[in-house]
Amino acid sequence: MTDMELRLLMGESVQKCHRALFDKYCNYVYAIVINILRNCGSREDMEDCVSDVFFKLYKQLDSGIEFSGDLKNYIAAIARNTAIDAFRKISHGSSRNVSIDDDTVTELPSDERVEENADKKERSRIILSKIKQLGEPDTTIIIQQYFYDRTAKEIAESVSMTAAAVQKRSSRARQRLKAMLCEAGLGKEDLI
Amino acid sequence: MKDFYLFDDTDDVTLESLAQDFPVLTDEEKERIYAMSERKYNNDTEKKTDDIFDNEEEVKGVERYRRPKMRTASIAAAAVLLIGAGSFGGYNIAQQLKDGKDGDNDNVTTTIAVDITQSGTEAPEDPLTEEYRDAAEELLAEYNDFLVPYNVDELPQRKSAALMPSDEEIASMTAEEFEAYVEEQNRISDEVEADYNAHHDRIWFDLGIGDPYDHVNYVFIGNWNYSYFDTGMKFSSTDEVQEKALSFMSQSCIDKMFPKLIGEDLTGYEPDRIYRQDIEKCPDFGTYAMRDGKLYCTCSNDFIDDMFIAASYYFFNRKDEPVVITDITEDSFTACVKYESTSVPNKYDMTMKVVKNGENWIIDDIEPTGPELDAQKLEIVNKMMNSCDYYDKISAKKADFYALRDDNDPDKGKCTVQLESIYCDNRAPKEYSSGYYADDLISMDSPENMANSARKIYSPKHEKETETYCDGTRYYYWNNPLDLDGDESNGKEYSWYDWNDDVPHDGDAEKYSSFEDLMMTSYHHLIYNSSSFRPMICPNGRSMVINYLYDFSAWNITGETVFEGVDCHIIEYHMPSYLYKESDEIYGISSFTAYVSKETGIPMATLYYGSDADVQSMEILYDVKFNGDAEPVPDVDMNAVGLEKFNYK
Repeated sequence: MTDMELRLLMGESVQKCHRALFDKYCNYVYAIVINILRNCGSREDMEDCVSDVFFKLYKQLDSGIEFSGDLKNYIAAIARNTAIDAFRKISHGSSRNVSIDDDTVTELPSDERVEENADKKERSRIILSKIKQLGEPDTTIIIQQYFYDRTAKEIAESVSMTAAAVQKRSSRARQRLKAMLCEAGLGKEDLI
Repeated sequence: MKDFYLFDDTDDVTLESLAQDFPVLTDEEKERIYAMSERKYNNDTEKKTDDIFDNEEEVKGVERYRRPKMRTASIAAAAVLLIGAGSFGGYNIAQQLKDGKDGDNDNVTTTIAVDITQSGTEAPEDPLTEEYRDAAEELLAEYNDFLVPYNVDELPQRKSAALMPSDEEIASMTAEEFEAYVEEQNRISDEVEADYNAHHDRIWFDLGIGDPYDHVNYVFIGNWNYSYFDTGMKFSSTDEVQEKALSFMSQSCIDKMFPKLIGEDLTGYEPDRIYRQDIEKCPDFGTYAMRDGKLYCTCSNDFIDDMFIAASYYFFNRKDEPVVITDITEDSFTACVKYESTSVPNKYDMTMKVVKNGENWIIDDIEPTGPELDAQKLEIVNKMMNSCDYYDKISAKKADFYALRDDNDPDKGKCTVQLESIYCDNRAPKEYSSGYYADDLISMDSPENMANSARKIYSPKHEKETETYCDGTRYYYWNNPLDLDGDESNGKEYSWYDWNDDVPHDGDAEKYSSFEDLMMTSYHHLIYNSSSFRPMICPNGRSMVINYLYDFSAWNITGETVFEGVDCHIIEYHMPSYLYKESDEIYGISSFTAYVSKETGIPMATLYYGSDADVQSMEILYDVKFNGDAEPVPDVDMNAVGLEKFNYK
């Protein structure tokens, strides 16, 4: 989707433009948000944050700012920064329902360290490829459980299995994954 | 799960791949987030959001009448004319206002005949009916407005933080520039937060009996989360709340619909902590409470579209049908408003008793009403809710089949099998069950053939994966240990275990009121009064009732059959639109067929259908033996299982 396409849609209908933008990028934005808020925010916090991202994007569209570069990167930047903002709000908030993991606070800056980007990309690529090698439904189970933080019951619904079966498959898949990551040289990092 | 670091350092490319190849958001979640973003946008752009709440209308007072919105009368409207007088208990002040006269004999009932046969023309009505319908609409608007404590678009908002730099800009920063950037962002974030906090306050109180860290004995009574906003609150004091409520409701109606509307002044009570009723003076909490001269309110939750104050009944999705006016007298009438559903199972309408109070009309009572309960359905659901009353002992096998539905799965269409053996003595009361997930994949077939397949697959020697045991006092549930961490040196780990005291005793049976206890919250979640909700350890039909059958309009008894030697009703259920539209399109259940035992209310076989009309899962009981024929409940040595796992005291 380009800026021009967005403007054309905007001219047609603001609502239509919002919907198109949301449908195309909601999964990406959600992935970015959960990557930052996973260890500190509730499901509601994440949904609230994703809605904040799109609210900001709608406002940007209204203001007439042109998205001259890659729209996807722009959205990613807004999503990341909004999530970091939300992370701080949750960290500073008084709600007793949010448990703050001290580790997360120190993880944030490291997540942005430029000099580590190349290593990070390669490492992420290997891990994802190994998870994909597990085959379905184990790949989906591991990703939903450990990236999206879904419960066994929720995963069970999405893969048409029982929660007990999901739990069991997850346990076995982790063991296989550990062996595969060791082979790939990532076994010493205590990833799993 | 913090012991798993796989995804803690994921780069953007991988994130994009995860989002694209493994999206997780359900349609329901997407719609919720999208609606949230639109709402924020609409609120922010100072647009008039008239349609936030369906029936919200500007109301200056009940004495100012609007012209009615005339709608075409429908057959359904004619049907509800039958509902009216006699549905109210002790809340009718109409008679008190009628010159001290007493009794129903003075209540002149007028039924308005609506001619529904004259298509395209408006039915002639009593002029008074039109006026009363207007008054009812005004009162309904007042009531709906009162349910929402805030003017949402006037609530303080967090100021947007400054626009962040792009990925490329961040990537081009030196380490020093990046640290400065983070510091600046922290400063802006703190400023935004401080500014927002200056305009609102949130406090919470928990109430219970006993030591909250002794979760075995601690009795949780409730939690109150209060908010104060310096703009956007409809009222500024509890007196204003009370005055407003009394302007359109009688005190008895307030007491009934909004119990604990006004709480004790919370000034002097330390917030954000647990209060113990057994050792200290605790506040008398209410929906609204004053604290340091400011009004605080507690809502159903934080989502804007669910900002309702607590009420006895909720009414969902008003139908586009006119308010039906009956029981007309000079100073009272009954108004029936049609809804798609209400918080009370099998009740679909809001019926208001409206009376004159001086020059104004006020609501004297509100009741979810009609249609008449279907006696046969009621008998079935009551049996399902109380199955343990209808047999003493059971031994049986249970099989759950789940169809593989992924298009890329070579085994698509076949199903996985979970098997379980069950033994239960309702009178002891004792129970034992164990189960496992079979390795076999089989094709979906009729319930009778699936029972035969399960018989062939089941092996009592197979490693158990889950077990439950009730020793007559406590009920335990655990997964057999597995080597979850992959480290054989530290043995196996329990992945799940729990226990509770929810064991049914015959002596307690009378205090459980069953089906009538069910109720939905303002956000369509079914709830029940836990103190009167009956625990059961044996196979029963309760979960089917509380998940599906509570809405009698959604199912029918379509025949009878004999399954595994048990006489059964055949029940066909179709998910109502107000539930199904929120379900996942692919995996949601759109309908099911159940064989329900006529004698015990146990669902013997249930076939769940997806939106594509294929059977997506099936649950059956087979080899069922009751009472004298049932195999005895085996004893389990819980010490061998490891009682310390259960926080047992």
